[in-house]
Amino acid sequence: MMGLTPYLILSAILLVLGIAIIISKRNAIAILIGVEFILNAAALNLVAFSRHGIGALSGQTAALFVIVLAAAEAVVALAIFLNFYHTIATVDIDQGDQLKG
Amino acid sequence: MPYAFIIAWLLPLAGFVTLVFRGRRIGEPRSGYLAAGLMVTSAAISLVCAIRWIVGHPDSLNVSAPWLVIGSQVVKFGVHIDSLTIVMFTMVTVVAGAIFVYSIGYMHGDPRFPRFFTYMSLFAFSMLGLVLSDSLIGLFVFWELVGLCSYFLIGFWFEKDSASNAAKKAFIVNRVGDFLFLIGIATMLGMTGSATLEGVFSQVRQGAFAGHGTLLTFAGICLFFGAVGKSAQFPLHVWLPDAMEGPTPVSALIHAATMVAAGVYLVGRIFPILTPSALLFVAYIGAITLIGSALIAVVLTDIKRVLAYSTISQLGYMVLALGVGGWVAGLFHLIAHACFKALLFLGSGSVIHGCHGEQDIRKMGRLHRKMPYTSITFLVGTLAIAGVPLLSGFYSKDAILASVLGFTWAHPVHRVLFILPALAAALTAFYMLRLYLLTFHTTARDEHIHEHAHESPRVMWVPLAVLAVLSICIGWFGRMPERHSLGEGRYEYEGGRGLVGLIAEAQPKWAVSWQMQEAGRASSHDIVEASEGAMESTHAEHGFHTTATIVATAAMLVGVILAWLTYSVGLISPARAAQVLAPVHKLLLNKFYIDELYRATFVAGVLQLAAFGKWFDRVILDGLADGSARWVARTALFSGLTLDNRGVDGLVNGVAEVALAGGNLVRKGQTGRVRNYILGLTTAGAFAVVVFIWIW
Repeated sequence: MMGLTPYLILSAILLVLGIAIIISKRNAIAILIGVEFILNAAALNLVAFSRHGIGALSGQTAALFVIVLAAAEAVVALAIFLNFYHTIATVDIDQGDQLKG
Repeated sequence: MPYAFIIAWLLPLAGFVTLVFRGRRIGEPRSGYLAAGLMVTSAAISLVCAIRWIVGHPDSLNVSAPWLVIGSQVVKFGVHIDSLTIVMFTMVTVVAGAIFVYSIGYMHGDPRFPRFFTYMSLFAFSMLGLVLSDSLIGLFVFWELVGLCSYFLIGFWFEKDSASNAAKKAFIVNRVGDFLFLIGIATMLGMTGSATLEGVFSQVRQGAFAGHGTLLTFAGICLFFGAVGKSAQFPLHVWLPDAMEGPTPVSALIHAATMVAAGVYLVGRIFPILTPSALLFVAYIGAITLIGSALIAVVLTDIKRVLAYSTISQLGYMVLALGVGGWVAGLFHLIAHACFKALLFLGSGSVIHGCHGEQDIRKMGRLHRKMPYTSITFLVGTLAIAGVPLLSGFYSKDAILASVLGFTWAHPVHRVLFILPALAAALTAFYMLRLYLLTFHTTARDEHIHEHAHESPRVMWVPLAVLAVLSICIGWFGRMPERHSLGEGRYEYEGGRGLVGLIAEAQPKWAVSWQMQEAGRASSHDIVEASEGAMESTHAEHGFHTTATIVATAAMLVGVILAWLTYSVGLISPARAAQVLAPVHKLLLNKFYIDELYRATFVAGVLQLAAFGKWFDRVILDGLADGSARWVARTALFSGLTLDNRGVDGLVNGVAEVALAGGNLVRKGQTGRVRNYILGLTTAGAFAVVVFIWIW
């Protein structure tokens, strides 16, 4: 029976990977994948704590919510990217610097 | 059943509302049919009610509802129906019905045909409301409404300057009377705390004016001045002749039969609160009016203006009768006059219509053959107003002269009050017959007009015939009720019959005895006498009847014979007479120079005042305004250039510049690249976590 620590380490690796993807990638789809990494890191944490920590089911329920949330977020993000593509004709988000001050 | 009157009252309103919104859509003949149909229905309803009353089902009604609440003062709006209301209501609806039908023919082809009937319907509604009102306030509201309709209809052909000026004149002159009327109402409201006629009467009887006899006289005269304006009595009569600029049916309905008679009706309604001194004032105003306007009517040559002055004169008769206490006589003459004067006006309209707009009787003549129906009905009207026995005017004028004779018998000082109307009776016969003969007989003085003259269509002469029948027989079967004294100033009336009996039923029975009592309070010898006279006259109407009949008939005969000799036989040449009496003739042609007098005094005075106002405005007010403007400009220059530009603007610009510099500094970080932001965000987050752990 594994303890809590390996889960947390995996979760931390996933989180850092996600952040690294978001910062380094210019492709919008890749950024979306990075976001999924981060969300799943959080979900993994919740499940692990639920299993080894508090012991109640609330963490697993929250994980289910995170999955649903991730789906919804993906929809919204894809919609935004579609519009982005419409206006700028690319998915390279470095081109979208209209917010530059 | 009394509510039938309310329906009859609202029918013209329904016509007005329909026409005001849909009039143009409904179009020429049908809007006339609609209005006339409603009016005739209304007349039929009121006739049925009147007949029911006569055969013994008095449907009196007295309902009211709170209308305005001013503090503790509740002004009620209500309807009061007694036999006088019935008589007036029926007269108005019947005459209006005839005139509406006539107007369909007369106004044919007018571009504003529907609008004419819109105004006429509104007028009919307002006039009926005036008759039904139970309070001075309600009376005043409808009083102003009929005045407004009169203004609209006098100025109906407003393209003509003369018509729009006449409308304004009528409105403004009436303002004078109405203002005093309003003062009278306010006095009554203030002293008695009530605006309903019943309330005012009972309060006055209980001594609301005890010790203020002069104030009561003043209030009565103020109220009477409303009537002076509306009924075109002496100082304010100048608007009525000019009002003839309106279409002839308007002259017939408003300025002959109904609205101008409203003044007389008002005096009849407020009669009980008129003190003997006020009544004497009323009588003298009536006497002056009736003789003055009769004299003017003799020399005029415009067919409608002759009738206008004749109307003023006849209204003078009514006012005089009321002034001397001949309540029944005055109101009886009102009804009779409404019939024959409407007839005469419609007849004149028919003549004008047939002569293609010509109104000058000097250009007419020998129209008898060309217009048989108009001629015959006009003759009936002429004879009725002249007072030929068995026609309506004979009975009513007789009653008036009898009242006056009774009064002057008790007060020989005021005998001029009998002499003037007797003289005017002869004049009336003379000028009316002159008008008739010059129009329909003698020689055709203008070939062209004579050639083209034609009888009016049936829709116009049938109403004439109806009114002619009424003018003939309205006085028949009438008998004044007997008056029995029950002692202590109480009287009992019984046995009146016909129209006169119906009017007499509504007579304020306590009025005369109360007026006597009031005179006793005022304890002035002259007033006591006058009051006794007023009482005597009612009492003596029978005793003096024979004398009055003889005098009236003799006067009428003199007038008729003189007119016949002058205009038919040619024994007296009118031109010669005018030459011999040149100064008088000129004075009369210029209507006693009253218009000129008003122009020189009031109109010129107002113009002077306006000129002063203009000067005041230009020099003083504008000077003040300009001066202050200059001062303001100088202050503004200082505050603008010095304070604002340097001080305030400097401050504001400084703040803005600081903000700009700060913004420029910060904007460098805003690359617009999401990756940069996230990098910053994560770095900051990691840094925060490290610091957090380290501090922990």
